[in-house]
Amino acid sequence: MIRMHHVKKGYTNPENGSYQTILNIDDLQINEGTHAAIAGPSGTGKTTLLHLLSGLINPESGTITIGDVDITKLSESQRDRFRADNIGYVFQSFNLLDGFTALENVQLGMMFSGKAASKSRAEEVLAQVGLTDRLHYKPSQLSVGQQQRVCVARALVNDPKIILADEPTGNLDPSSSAEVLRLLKNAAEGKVLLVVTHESDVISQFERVLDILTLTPSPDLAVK
Amino acid sequence: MNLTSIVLKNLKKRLLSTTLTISSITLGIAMVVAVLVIQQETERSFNQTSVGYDLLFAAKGSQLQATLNTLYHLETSVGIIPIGVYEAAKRDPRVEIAFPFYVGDSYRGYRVVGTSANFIEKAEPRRGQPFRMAEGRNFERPLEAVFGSEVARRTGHKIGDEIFITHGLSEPAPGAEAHVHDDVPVIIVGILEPSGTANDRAIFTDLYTTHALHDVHLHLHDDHHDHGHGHEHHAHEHSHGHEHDTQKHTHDHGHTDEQHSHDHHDHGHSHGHHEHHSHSHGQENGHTHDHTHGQAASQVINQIELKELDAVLVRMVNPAAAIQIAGMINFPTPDNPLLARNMMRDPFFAYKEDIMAVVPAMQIRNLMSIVGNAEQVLRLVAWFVVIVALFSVLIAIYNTMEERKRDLAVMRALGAKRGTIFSIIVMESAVICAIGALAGLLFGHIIVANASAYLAEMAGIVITAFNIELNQILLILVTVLAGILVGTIPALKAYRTDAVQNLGSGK
Ligand SMILES: Nc1ncnc2c1ncn2[C@@H]1O[C@H](COP(=O)(O)OP(=O)(O)OP(=O)(O)O)[C@@H](O)[C@H]1O
Ligand SMILES: [Mg+2]
Repeated sequence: MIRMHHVKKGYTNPENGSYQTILNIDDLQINEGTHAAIAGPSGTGKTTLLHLLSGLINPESGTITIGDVDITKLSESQRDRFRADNIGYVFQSFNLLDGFTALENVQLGMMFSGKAASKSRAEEVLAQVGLTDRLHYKPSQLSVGQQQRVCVARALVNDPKIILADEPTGNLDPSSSAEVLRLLKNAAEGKVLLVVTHESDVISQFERVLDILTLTPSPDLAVK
Repeated sequence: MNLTSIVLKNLKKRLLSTTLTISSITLGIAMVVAVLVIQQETERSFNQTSVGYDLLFAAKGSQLQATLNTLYHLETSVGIIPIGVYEAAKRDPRVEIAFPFYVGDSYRGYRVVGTSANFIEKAEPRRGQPFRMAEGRNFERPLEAVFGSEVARRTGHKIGDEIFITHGLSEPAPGAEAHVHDDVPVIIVGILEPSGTANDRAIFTDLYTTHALHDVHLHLHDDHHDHGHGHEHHAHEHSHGHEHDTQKHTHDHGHTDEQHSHDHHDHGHSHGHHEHHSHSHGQENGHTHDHTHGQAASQVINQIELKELDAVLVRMVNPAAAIQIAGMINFPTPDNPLLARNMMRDPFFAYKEDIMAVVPAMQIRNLMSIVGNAEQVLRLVAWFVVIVALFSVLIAIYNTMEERKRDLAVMRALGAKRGTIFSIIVMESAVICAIGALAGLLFGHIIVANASAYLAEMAGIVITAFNIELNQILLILVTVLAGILVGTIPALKAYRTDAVQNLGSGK
């Protein structure tokens, strides 16, 4: 399903101008139906990895194949469209649009894919995350846990093959945290779900854990 | 949900800024539209009224003034000319049709134009559009009047109403005494349909009536009027000190056909019985308006001598002849003796000392080119306002880019292409300009509607507001296009916004 091969990504250090490698992945394969946690200390490239997988950024070298598409070979706008169609993304910060209601924020998740931004589909996923009675609330009128559930709904609305979640429970209390995780895992049945997290509670929910530092995956992840 | 609803939502979120920028566009476009429509309609109104005629004969003076006075009922008469000019024009085979004008009186500020009945029948206030009666009929004899549509509307008079005309052109100042000819009652027999020209604001009557109003000696006696309407008939002690009066009556070119045509009015009275009352006829006719008026009319015909006019308007069989006649009258010094002999035989040549020949269309063209300069300045100012408004749109949107970086980045992360982000911002600018331009169009026409009353009053130009034409539609399209152009600047900034760097870190 996903294969990263000889992928190198780094940044120029703004202080001294020197190049700094963040990720250097020799070969990483993630099969269909895999649910995995990505763990590692802050600033080690977890978010960068998700950005690479979603096509938001391109690596300096290497290939990233999703399905049978090498997304590093796509143009930027092709990657945009690929992301809209195939990736559900829950951001590290919520990133809901202030001026839009919960329903509209979810519809926004459909806007840029090939499908029409159907209202009933948006309502359906919001019902799935238990927000039927909050459709027309603006983000500022929702609790933090509710906001994160809107984000989950937005990530799910296109029925993507891959769901990437960047610390989805970082700002939540334990019960909300468990709820969001449960929603994600249910929705990602049979799909790829990668969840970045620091929390041991969350890590413990996954049989498979990828340590970003060593890039040593837990045994079930196919790594060569 | 679609891109448009995203755009509208973004605009609604910044309601104040959106409203202000829309208003600035509205203001600019309203000015442009108002200037455009007023200029265009003024020119059209003036041109159309002037094109139907080849020549205007009037007393020597300002050609423009003569044109404005005769065709647009503006200014004052340049002076009087002998009625023989009209007679000559009527006889001349080169002349297709001639209309006489004798003016200088008014009713409640509306000008009374003495002319021939065929002016209403044959003249075209607008090219190809003759006068049409809305009600009643044309005037047929003295003391009958036809009201322009606007006069009828404003005064509220109906057919059959009797009015007393004021000598002079304007309403007297409060307290001052109006010189009302309450001894010369005029009855309204017809009301014209609107023509969109100065004629809508005029009252038309025959030459006898306007002559009667200028006549010091005229006295109408009518017993029926005394009883039926309480009109006291006056002795003629009022002094006619108006300069107009002294201006008139100076030329006397003797009698003409017109004068002798009284004869077929078969009342058998002799002329010049100014001091005598004509008791002897008409009394048996009963008490109807028509009869009393018929009686007064014949008295007018008997007592009034038609001898002068303010202008004669002429349409030639061959318009080229107009130039030749104009040259002969205005510059009667040909080098060629052969031409000189031809001139002597020309019936108009005899009047060369009394009249000038004006080509009305040329006068209007000259006037319009002068007015055009002022109008150009106004138009420049209006466009300047639009340009400033466009800049305000640019700045307003550009200033929001910083705070919107995160929103744009989120959309990018959700799969929006850079191009999509670009078009969202361009559309915001375009929508502001489109709404502003449409509101400006409406507002501009509201200005025109308000100005039209004033213009009608001041210049006799009747402008129809809310007449949206192609060039105004184009103006709106141009504004929207300008909005798109202006929008590309903030849109480019949005286009370049890096998605990853602007997704909030959340920490
Ligand atoms: N645009 C950039 N320019 C320079 N350095 C960058 C840039 N973006 C990220 N980095 C660096 O890359 C490293 C990895 O960042 P990343 O956001 O992937 O970390 P992370 O593992 O998600 O950390 P956290 O757990 O705190 O979210 C960091 O050291 C960061 O400073
Ligand atoms: Mg991170």
